[in-house]
Amino acid sequence: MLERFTQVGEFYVMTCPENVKTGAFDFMDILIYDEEKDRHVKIGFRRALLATGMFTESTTAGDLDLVVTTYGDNTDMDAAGTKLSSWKTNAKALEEASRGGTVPSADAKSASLVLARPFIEHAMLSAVMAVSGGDTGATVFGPSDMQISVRVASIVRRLPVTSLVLTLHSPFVRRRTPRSRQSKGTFAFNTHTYIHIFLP
Amino acid sequence: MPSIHTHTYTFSSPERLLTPFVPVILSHYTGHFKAMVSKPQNVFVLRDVMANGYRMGGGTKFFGSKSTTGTPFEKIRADLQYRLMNPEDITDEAPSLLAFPMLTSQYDDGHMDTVMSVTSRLLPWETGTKNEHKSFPGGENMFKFYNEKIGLRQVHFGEDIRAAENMDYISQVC
Repeated sequence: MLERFTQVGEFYVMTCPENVKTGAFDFMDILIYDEEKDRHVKIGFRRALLATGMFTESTTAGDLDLVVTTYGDNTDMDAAGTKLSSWKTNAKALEEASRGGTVPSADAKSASLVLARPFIEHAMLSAVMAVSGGDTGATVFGPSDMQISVRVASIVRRLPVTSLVLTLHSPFVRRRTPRSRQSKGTFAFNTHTYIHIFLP
Repeated sequence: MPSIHTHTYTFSSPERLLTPFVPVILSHYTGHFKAMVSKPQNVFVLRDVMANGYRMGGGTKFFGSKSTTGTPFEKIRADLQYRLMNPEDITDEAPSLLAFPMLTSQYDDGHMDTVMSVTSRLLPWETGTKNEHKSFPGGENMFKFYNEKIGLRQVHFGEDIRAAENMDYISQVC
């Protein structure tokens, strides 16, 4: 199988339900799957409105009312000339109705919201299937090259440590391995005999 | 085209081990091969048939929630830039969501029920004399507004279009 990273996108639309009754709360909130957490997560309408950049939080402690900004107020949102400022007013009213459990007005219902998740990335496996045989095609050989050379290199640098020790202990080496320093433990076991046994 | 390199080291006798220098025989083989398909009907490419793991972008954090300074749009722009400039950074939960204002009438008209484009690219049925983002929430004017504020055009910066068209694969497994 072949692997590559692939991105896909998706979007959700947050619109007001048709028959909202008094006492219904949070009717604008939605529940979507969070792949980071591997569970469904509730997206509140207020939180989503803040993410549009058109609102800010109130600086007064405990005040949940959104503060409307003036960004792009005169931008037309449709051919009829509905202004962005109008959407902000209606969206704020819709959020307050959802939070307060009241029935939103018809104007407030005209405000909707789109949530987009544009960069959902997965490692994806692909495969190639082909009919066997010469009818499908062939593997073409292009130019090939073979080079052989002889180089002189130092063996001492390439040998691992164990091989180096073996070389020093082999009969081709005339130099004796120097004695190790005697420890307190070796004195207790008649050290001279013990050491000479293992010297080459 | 694959290239094969072989390195061989030889020692003829134990005495050679004692000498400071030994000959080393080095060989290199390079070959060029190419699979040629003469009958494309016999080849079938199964693109992205199986997911092999999640990487990022499927969370519920909003762009703009990570940055701490600036106006709301500057925060969204900064988070978006970080996501695009650091595609390998999966150490923290990266923002994944964008939010756009929309009129309910646009949804009722059927412009938002199938697909939308948040970048400068238009959908196939939007290309024509006007070249307008009818599928974008709020239409062409709102796309221009958001494009200026948070830089939606940057989404495709650095994209290897040829690799995407040729279906190049990043790595090979199995």
